[in-house]
Order: sequence, then structure tokens, then C-alpha cells
Amino acid sequence: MKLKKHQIEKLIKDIQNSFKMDYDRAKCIVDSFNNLLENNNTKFIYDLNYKIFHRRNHKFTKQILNMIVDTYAYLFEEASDDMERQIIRNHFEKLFDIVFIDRCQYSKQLEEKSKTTQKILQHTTKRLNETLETQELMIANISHEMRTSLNAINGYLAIISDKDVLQGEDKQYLNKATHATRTLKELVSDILSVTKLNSGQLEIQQSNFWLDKMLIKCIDNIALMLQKKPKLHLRTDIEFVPFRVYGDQNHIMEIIINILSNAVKYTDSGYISLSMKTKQTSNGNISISFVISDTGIGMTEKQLETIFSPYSRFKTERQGLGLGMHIAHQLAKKLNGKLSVDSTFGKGSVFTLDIDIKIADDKKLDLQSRNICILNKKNYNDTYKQRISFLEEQGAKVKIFDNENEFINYLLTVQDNVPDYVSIIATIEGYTKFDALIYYLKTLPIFSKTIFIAENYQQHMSLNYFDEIYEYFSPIDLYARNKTQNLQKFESRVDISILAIDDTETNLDILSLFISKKYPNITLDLASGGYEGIGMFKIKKYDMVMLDLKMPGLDGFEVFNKLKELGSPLPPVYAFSADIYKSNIDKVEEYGFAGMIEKPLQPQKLYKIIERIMHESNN
Amino acid sequence: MEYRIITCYQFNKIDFEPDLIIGFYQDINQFEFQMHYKKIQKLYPDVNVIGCSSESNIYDEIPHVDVDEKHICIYLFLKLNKNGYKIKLLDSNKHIDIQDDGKNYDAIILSSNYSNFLEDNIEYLNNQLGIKHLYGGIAGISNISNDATIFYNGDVYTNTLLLLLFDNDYYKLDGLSIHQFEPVGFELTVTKSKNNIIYELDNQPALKVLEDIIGHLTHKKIESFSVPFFLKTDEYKTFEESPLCSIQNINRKNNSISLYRYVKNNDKVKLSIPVSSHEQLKRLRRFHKLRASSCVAFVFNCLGVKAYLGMMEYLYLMDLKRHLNIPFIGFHSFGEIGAFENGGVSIIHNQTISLAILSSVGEDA
Repeated sequence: MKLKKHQIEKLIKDIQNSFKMDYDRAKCIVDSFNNLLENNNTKFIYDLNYKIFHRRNHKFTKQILNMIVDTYAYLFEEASDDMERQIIRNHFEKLFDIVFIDRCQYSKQLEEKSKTTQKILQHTTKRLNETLETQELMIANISHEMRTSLNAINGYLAIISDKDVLQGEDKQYLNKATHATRTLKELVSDILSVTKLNSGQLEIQQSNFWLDKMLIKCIDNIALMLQKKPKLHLRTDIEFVPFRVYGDQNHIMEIIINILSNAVKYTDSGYISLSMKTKQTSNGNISISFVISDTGIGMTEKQLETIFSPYSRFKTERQGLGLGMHIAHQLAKKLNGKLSVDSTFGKGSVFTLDIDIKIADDKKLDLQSRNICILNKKNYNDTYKQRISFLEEQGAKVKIFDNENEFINYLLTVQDNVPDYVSIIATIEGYTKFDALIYYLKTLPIFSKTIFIAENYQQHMSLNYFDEIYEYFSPIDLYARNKTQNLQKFESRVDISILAIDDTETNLDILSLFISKKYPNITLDLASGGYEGIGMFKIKKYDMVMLDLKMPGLDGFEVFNKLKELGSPLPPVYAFSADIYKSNIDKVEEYGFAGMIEKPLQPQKLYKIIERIMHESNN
Repeated sequence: MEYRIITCYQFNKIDFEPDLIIGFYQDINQFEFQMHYKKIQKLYPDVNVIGCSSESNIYDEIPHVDVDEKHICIYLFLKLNKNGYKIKLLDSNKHIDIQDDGKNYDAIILSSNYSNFLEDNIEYLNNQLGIKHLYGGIAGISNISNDATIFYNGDVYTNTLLLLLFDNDYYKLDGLSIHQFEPVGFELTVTKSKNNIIYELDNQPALKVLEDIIGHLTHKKIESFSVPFFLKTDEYKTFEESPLCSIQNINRKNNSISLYRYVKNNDKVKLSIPVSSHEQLKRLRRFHKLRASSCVAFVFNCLGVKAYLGMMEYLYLMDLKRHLNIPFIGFHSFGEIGAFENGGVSIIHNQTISLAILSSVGEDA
């Protein structure tokens, strides 16, 4: 069968209109179609099939289908006899079979295959979840055991270090061991954080805090690292926020410190910049943007892709587990914030933490009748001006000098309204000179309650007489503090008795060494098990009990119950544990413990608790 | 190098004196192929003719896959430098031992059957003779049938391995293998096996373990080649670089699974899932890097590819043809020999599309 001339012309026109095609291309298609009808050469059909496959466009496929149906319907009508009609019908069936029926069958097959794929994936997911749960449990247990051992190692190392008996190489070995233990402690901490994050055990702990004070703590945290890199400088551009905010300060700090420490680690020279900008949102919150940039080694595109994945450093040549950034990223999410990164390999990186935070519903600082005297020779930026205005708004009388001589003259001659705070922003030589001046001023009774502050002090030299030294800026709430309060210490010591119950000898050993070093008057009794502890408790009155939770025989909770059953009023009982999971902390609270002391032992935290108990005992 | 791809009805289209003819024929058409050889011999008395039986042929004409059985015997006529190639017929069930003549070769391997020696022999060619570009296919449709054959100048051989060596001073081969699967899930260890049969996986009845994961395994499912294994032996570091291996059959009486290749105890397997159609195309287009001019290609497609991809196979071959724009010839094989990267280590796989491009040295590849 062959197409007639008028049929060819009609089909060309139809194709031109349907597919917006030029005459030559349309003619070419019609010629191929004619060839199919004339010689039964199926190339046309397969070409058509390929076009549909190649385009992958639903509309195009529909257009082709319409065109085929229309064309065959037209040819069928035009057919001169039954034989021609039969030929057209056969051709249509063949074309329809290859182009559409085959495709439908293929889709059906795909559907069948996808059922098997689904089953495989379901099975895999189930097994993966089970494995993850087991692994999390395993990691938690291992971390617990590691923390217990680290407690002993850390403690003994600190004690040896404090004794200061090692010399030369031996001292270096001790430093290296201390450093290695610190790294190990951070690692265990990171692994625990990840496990807590993954298992949804991470708690959000909200409180009121000053943003500037939080950033000072972050900067303090990396100060030592920065000191080791003399060619590296920290720049700050921190907007002054004249109110406290309400949020999870510790976790925000953890994110910022993580990024800052990484920046220091991977930047040898140039600068690290920390900036904070805020914007008030419509719902009364503030939207804060912390930006930390550096001029360090930067990251390749591949590294950037995996920077927030757990264990990302396994995929690079860098040292460490690479959990820090993953934790920071997850924490940001948990705080409903967003941590993003931009980096150029060889040039540096920019990390941005965007977070919304509530404005604290509390009173501002009460600075009525506070006299503040400031010498500022070099820094009059907007933030500084905002801080001064804020201090004045809160009732403080602020006197600012930019001339050293006038400032010194004022301090030497002042009789009334003696400043409660003297804040100095000076040059290197200036600070040394003022240190000597403060030495003199402190001998005068009128300055006995004055707090002397060195601000923007980026020199790595010690100042002896300043009360407060800040590398970049002082926290605003400093001006609400009293000197007496600042120096408050428990000078009048009282003797108290503590009972510590722990099955691990080293833990008791460490505890004993730490306590006796700081408080030689304290009586510390040690029990190596639950029953022994209860026995001791029955015959002596204690001011505080420290109780290990995980012990063979009677565990800490059981011992606590038995102590309660003894009837006499219980002194504060603190849980002593390496298991800092929320479930455990909740259980500790539920049982009525006074608090929890973490292993590895953090002496400062322990001392704070003891001081409080001494204070209560004293009163 | 002159070349032409024709069917057995087109001998009159050859306008040069060929040195080597490579042909493929379906098992059932072996006799016909021998008849046509006589015609060829009359036309070109000095020509070398080699052939390999196939499950079905892959030809240079649309739709490329011989759906209408129009291309039952197909040929690649080649005019080559006589010093540029060598043919070796070897026993496929023995370790081969070829003297190193100090020259560098690329090679096409055509084997009438699958045997464990084949893996060793490929390794030997790779490591001992330094043949890095090694591509080919295994004839036949099962590893128990003896119907598959190799043809060489009028004679038909079973249990034979034909090695077509191309001297790198004159010719070279470039190529690679792709498949459309991804390893998934946990690895399973073969704990009891014999030849190509796995009786136990992780010390459990193999079929039970498999069906726990994928559900009831019907013959229809097996024949659709939809759940091949990735088979990791000591030679491979990861499953991604391990060969894909199809399931050939199951036996409910002894709870075993038979594969298209041999396994041994302590081999690891992982199930596979198909990649998306987008990823399939992406993988297919890795062949485009082999673009060359004045060359001809061999395609070795697994019979599993034909069963699994269905109509998509010819669409993929059409796509390949349009992008590479070179003639090709090949067959559906029981197993393919090729590497995942051009010049990478060649291994035996199932369910791959494997391509080898022959060009004269100096041509773009």
C-alpha cells in the first residue's frame, strides 16, 4: 500500500500544525511512514518509540498517540476497498503494539519488580533499625565505662601535676598524657552527645542570659588555643543587645565554641571573625545571626557536602572523628535554628548560625547610684556607644575620658562619688602603667569597693592588680556586681563530714585526693559498697552523701531507699554517675537525690557543691 | 582498518578483501552458519572466520536486538594488518599457558562455556600477560548445557576458549561494563556451597534466608532476573566493585539457590535493587566517554539484561548508537567479561551491558 499525493500533503500539514514543525522535517516523517506502509520496514516505529523515550514528556506522548489515531482513522476512511482497510488495520495494530502495548507491559513488569524492591528495603530498614538500637546501647555502655576509667586517669594526672614534683622530660610526658586524656574525654563526650541526639534524649535547658556574656565565655574557651597561634587574630563585631534573652545558652555556646575551635584548628595565620547581628521579629522574639569566618584552609566541594555528616573526617585526611560539626548541626536543628556553611578551598570558611530566641521577661539592670569611670583611647564604635547609653539608661553615672592624663588626674583627686567601676581600654604600655596606678589606688580606702576592669586587652602579659581582665569586651552585667559580692569566699571554714559510697576503689581514691587537697578540714569517709555505706551512715551523722549509682549488689537507688527508710532526716545525697542520660537524670530527680555529680569528676563543680553545703552548715 | 557489519544475506555488499571475519549465530543456527562459511571461503579463501553461538544476536540495525529473528547469522568483516592480530584456541576447562612474546595486547575472549578456569585465565591474562583491556562474552544459556559452541575456520568446538589478541602497535580496545543495580542491606556469608549452588547463607538454609527478605521466589521472578546478587570474594574490597551474579534456579527440596557462576564458602553476597530510570540513563551515558571515530564496537549483553530490561534494551542500544555513532555487533551472553572503568580490571559478571571498541592505534578514543 502506498499513500496518495493528496494524503501525503494532508499528513504533512497535520504534522506541521500538531508539532510546529517545518515542511521538510514533516515531509521526512511522512516519507518514513509511507515507507512503513509500502515495505513494512519497521524502522519508523522504533524511531518513534525512541523519540517518546528520549523526550520523556507525557504531553508529547499523548500528542503522538492522537496523531497516530487520527492518521489511521483518516486513511481508513479513505481506503478504497476491504483489502486496503485490512492492511491499514494490521499496520495500526503493529505500531500500537510496539509503541504503546510494549510500554504498558514494561510498566506492569516494573510495578511487579518494585514490590520485590520494597520488600528488600523494608527488611533492610528493619534490620538497620535493630542494629542501630543495639549499637546505640553499646556505645552508651562503652562510653559509661570509659568515663569511669577516665575519671581515674584524669584525677591521678591532676594530682601528680599539682604536686609539681616532675622535672624536664617527665613533666613533658605528664603534659602529653594530660593532653591526650583531654582529647579522649572530648571524644567520649562527643560520642555521647551524638547518641543522645539520635535517641532524642537531649534536653533543652532554657534560662535567662546576656548574649554578650555568653559570647565572652565562648571566646574565653578558645583563648588558650589562640595564644598558641601568634599570627592568628580574632576580630569581633558583636551588636549590643540591651536585654537578657531566654534560651538554651549551653547548647548555643556548644555550637559556637565548636565552630570557633575548628576555625582556630584549621587557620594558622590571618584572622577569625565572630560577629553577631540581631533583628526583632514580629512575635516578640529576636532573630540572631552568629557568623564565624576564618582565613583558613577552607574546604573542597566534596568536604563541604559531608561536613555535617557524622564521622565526616573519616572521609577526609583530617584527624579526629569529625563529630563536632555533626553535633553542632543537629543541635542547631534541635534549637529550631539553622547552621549553614560556605567555603572556598584555600581561602577560608564562613559558618552562619541563625536562631530565633525569646526576649527574657525580667527586669533590666538596676544601676542606680553606680559611678562608672571609663578611659577609652581607641574604641568608639556604635556598639560601644550603645553600651554606654544603656548603662546611663539603667541609672549609672558614666564618666568617659579619652585623655590619659585627665583620667589619671581625676582618679588621684576624686573625693566624692568615687567610681564603683573603673574600666580601661588602652594601649599595651598603657595597661602596664595603669596596673601600677591601680596598685597605688587600692592602698587608698576610698577605692576599696572599686572594681578595676581592663577591656580589649589582647596582650598575652599578666596584669597583677586589675580585678577583671577581658580580652575583647566586658559583659554588661558586670556593672551590676558588687566588689564584696565578687570577692565573697568562705573564709570561715566549718568542718563537715562527707560519706562517699562507690565500688570502684580508684573513684574513691580520686575523690579523696581532690577533697583533702582543697578542704583539709573535711572528714571524708569511704565505703566500697552499699551495705558498708548504710552501716557507716547508721553510726555517724553526715552533712553530705555521695552515692555511686552503678554498683554490684545494692545499686545506688536501692541504697538511697534504704537510707530513707532509716527514718532520720537525710543530708543532701548526691548521685555519683557516668550515666548522664536523660532517663537516668530523670530517675535521680524522681528518687529525690539532691543532684548529680558527673564522672569524670569535674573538681570545680564538686567544690561548688561542697561550698554550698559548708555555707548552709555555717548558717 | 576497514570494516563492515552484515547479515548472511549481504555478502555481496563487501567491497574489500577481509582478513578476519567475526560472526555470531544462535545455537540452533550453527549448521546454517557452517553453510555460510563455505560461501565465504569461496569468496575469500585466505580469510580467518571465527564465531560464537549466542542466545540471540545484537546487530547494527534498528532495533539492534533481533526481535524478529531476521539476523540469525551476523558478521563483522575486517581488513586488518596481518601482523596486528592473533587467534588462539584454548581448552576452556584448563589453565592457559601462553608464552609472553614481549608485545602488548588487548583481547576479545569468546568462551563456549563457563568454568572456574575462566576466572583464573582472565586473571592470568590480566596479570601474567599484562592484558588490561580484556572484553568478551560466554556463549550459552546455562552452565550445564553443552550446546554452546565456538567456530573457527569451518570447525565447531565445545569447551573452548577463543582468544583474539590485538597487537597494541596496530590496534587497541577500549570498553567498559555497566549494570543497573545497587547493593543493598546486610551482607550474607556463604556457609555451605558446591560449584554454583548455595545451600546455606549465614548457616541457615539459603532459600529460606532469601525468601525471608524478598518474599516467595517464583520461577517467573527468577526468569525476570529481577533479584541478582552482588558476589564479593576475597579479591574485592567493596560490594560496589564486586560482580553482579544472577540467580539461575532454586530447589525447594534442599532449600538451595543456584547461581550463574561458581561460589565458595566464605564468599559474601548482598541483594541488589534496581537503580532509578534516571540513574540507569546516567550509567548508560558513561559509554559516551568512549566516543571514537573510525572504529567498530562489540556489544556483550547478558541474556538477563534482555529479560530484565525488556523493550528498554533496544531503546538503550538505540541511544548508544545515536551517541557513539559507530557500528556494532554482539550477542546475548551467559556472562560478560569487562571492567567497570575503561582499562580497569576485567571480571566476569552477569546482567551487564559490556562494550568494547576496536580502533586502529592513533585513532581518537
